[in-house]
Amino acid sequence: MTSNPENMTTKGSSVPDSRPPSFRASSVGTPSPRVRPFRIGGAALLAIVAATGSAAAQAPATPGTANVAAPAVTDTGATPPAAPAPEATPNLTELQNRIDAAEQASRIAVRRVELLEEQLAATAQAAKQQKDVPTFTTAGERGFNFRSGDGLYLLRVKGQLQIDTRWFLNDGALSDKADTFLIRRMRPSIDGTVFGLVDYKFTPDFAGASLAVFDAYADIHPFQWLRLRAGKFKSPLGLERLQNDPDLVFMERALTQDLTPQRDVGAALGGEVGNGILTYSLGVYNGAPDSANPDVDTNHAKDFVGRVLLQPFKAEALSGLGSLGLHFAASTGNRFGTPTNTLLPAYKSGGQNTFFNYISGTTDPAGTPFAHLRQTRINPGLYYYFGGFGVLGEYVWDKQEVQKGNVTTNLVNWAAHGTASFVIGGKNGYDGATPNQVLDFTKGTWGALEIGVRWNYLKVDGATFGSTTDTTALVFADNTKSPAKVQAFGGAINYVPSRTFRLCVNFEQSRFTGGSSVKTTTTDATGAKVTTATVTNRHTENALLGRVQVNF
Amino acid sequence: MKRMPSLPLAAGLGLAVLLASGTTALAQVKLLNVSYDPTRELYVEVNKAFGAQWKQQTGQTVDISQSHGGSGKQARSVIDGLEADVVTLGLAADIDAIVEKSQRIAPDWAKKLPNHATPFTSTVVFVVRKGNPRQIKEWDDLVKPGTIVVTPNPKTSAGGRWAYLAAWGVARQKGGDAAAKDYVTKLYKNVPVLDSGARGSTITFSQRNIGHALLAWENEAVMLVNEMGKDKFDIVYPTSSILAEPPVAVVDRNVDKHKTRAAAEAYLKFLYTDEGQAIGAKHHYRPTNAAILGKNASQFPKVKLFSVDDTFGGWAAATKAHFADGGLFDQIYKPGW
Repeated sequence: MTSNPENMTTKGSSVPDSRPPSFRASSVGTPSPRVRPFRIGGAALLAIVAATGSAAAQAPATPGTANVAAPAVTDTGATPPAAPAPEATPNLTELQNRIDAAEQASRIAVRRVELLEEQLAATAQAAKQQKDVPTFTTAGERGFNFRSGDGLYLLRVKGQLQIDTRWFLNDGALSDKADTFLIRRMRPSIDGTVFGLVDYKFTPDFAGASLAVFDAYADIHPFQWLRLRAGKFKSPLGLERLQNDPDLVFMERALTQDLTPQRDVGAALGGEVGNGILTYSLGVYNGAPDSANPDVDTNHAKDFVGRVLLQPFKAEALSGLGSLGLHFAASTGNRFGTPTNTLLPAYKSGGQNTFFNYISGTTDPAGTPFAHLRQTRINPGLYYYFGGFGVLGEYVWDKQEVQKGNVTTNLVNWAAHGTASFVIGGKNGYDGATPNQVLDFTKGTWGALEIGVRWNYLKVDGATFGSTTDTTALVFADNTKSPAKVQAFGGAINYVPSRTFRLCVNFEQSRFTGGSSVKTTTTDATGAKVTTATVTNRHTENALLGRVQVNF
Repeated sequence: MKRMPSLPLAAGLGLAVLLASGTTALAQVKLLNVSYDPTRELYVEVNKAFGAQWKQQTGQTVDISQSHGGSGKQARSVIDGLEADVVTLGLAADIDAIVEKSQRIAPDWAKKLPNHATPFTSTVVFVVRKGNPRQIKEWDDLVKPGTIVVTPNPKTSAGGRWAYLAAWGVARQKGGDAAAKDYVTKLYKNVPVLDSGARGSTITFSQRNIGHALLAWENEAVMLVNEMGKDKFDIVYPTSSILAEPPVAVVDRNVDKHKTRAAAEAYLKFLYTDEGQAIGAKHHYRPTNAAILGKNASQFPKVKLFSVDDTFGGWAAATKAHFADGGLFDQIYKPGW
């Protein structure tokens, strides 16, 4: 019965109604049966009020919004009189004014009741809708989504499966012949939102010998420019590290990944400013060694990690210039390693073979180096994408104080890489290749093809291997087993039928400096045989990798 | 081995079915325009004109549905999942709320169309009873004792919010913010009913016969007088009022989901064409196209207009100061006075 004109959906075509179009939505015009008693009752009351000389404006207020005495009004233009003197006899005009004012008060009361009824009806309807439609369920590239009717709660079930094969060509001289098929990643993931305010994510990995947790965090985001994330997640080191695994041009990240942690546990403030032109993150973490994915801390010291990402082409005036990201991150924190828990990393090649280790004193703990105190990393990088074209490059400088016995020294390792890619039939971006049209045999569309090349390089501090001139210099790694440098060139061809599925073939050649030896036996002046080891280069690695990837 | 003549036949039939279904889908596009209260009639005519143009340009039939209500409530509906392809709301702040709370619209929506995505402007005027018995001519007349004013709730209605800011802005010009607060407090003492939308207030005033003055969108005021009878109401243009800029935007996430982006964008761009601007003028919205505005100058009396940006520092600041919970409106308005 009420005159609620809201939320009516009508077709833009004909509206068969003879009333004025502006009021078709309304039932107003003739008071409804429910309104009429108010009006009749009100009129009766007003007659009494007028007759007794009581001003309507003096009526006491009743609770709620429909109970207030309205200001006295008149359509004649005269201001309603104050309460008349008891002895005065009101003239006709004054009586008319009082009746008008009382009528206004009555109408206002009725209208307020109507509005309250409308509000109650709307509230009841909203509650019913909330009850009737508790969730929206969708499925697509972003997983299977379950969302509450009010949009405040979201649960997404996602998954990532990578089935790899690795073949090492011309690897006869290698001891670790690792040609294999393997499950590289098997990560179901649950994420979503609660209260419309807090995001959450939980991602374990079932691939490999043991279950590992990769992401487990809560992310409170009251504003776009301010969010607090706490738990286990990627610390903001490594521009390529921060890309999602399924979106990488190459199946395995470049050598720079050897100098940044996989995940860390801590809390970080971050956000976007200026529509994403500036992204920042500043956090405190337990402090994970390079390449590590620890769940717990082993000491009281913490790492401080910060990052800024500038994306100037997000400015409206520059939006046609593509996507440019200028990244700078840094970390610093103390390590308290021990000979049994050194907190020092091993480095892996593009083929995921370990090529560098610090030495380990199997009988003498004093012969085992370990991380001691300050580790500092500096990590500038950039990316640029335009249409199908993209480049990404970064540099990591990593200084770690290392102790062996009672002696400490600072070792500086660094790595860099540059990756260029081109997507045919799709769009390139930091978030991976996106086909213009997904594979659909019925439409004759085939998805996209991504082609990439990269160079990457890692150099270990020369002091790690002692000194050829100073025999007293400490040795932290054996240069006949661990190379001092590695340089790799690679190519990638990825077929991307959709963002949820891709087939990858990569080839990468890694050339090492040092890391192997040739033993020579000679006879000395006394006739005794003497064996000496001459440092040579580790056998070049030619890694041919293949992958089937499902990601939703 | 026997040959299988049915295979090419089945393939041919399948292809035909595929083509037929594809052709049907191609031939029709559906849009939902979620708008604020007083735009019903405007968009009925816009939809008809755009539909004809779109059909001529693309061969597609466009089926446009409309949803109307208080601007704030409509924005809330879109945030909660109403599958709008476009929103044509009364306030930029309402579109910003959709951006912020649902990310369904790109944050740079206001830059995607001319004039901050505002195809038409309007202002706030007074509607009074025929002959203007209480001689209401300026804003000061609204706060005289005994005067009853009808205006929608600024917490839910774009029209209500424009009216509130118009009142505040005019009073501020005379005596600063303190005077403005005092004025607006007095004004809302004279407002006994707060409808949730502008159309509801129009009904309260015109059909419930409540009040001496209605604060209304200019287009709503003209339409009320034209349709309910020029013998019943007069429009009063105050010397100064606010420049109301109701914006429009494509709901990016929804149009990508519905695959209706092309039609939705064309629909909003149509509002800026000469034809779209002329339809706006016909429905008493002030065209932003100077030429079309000039042709219709006689129906838009000159009023000294001030903008939200200039007077209040933009919608974000105005919303925070005046309409947030505990803000100035909550301070000055006491239900049940």
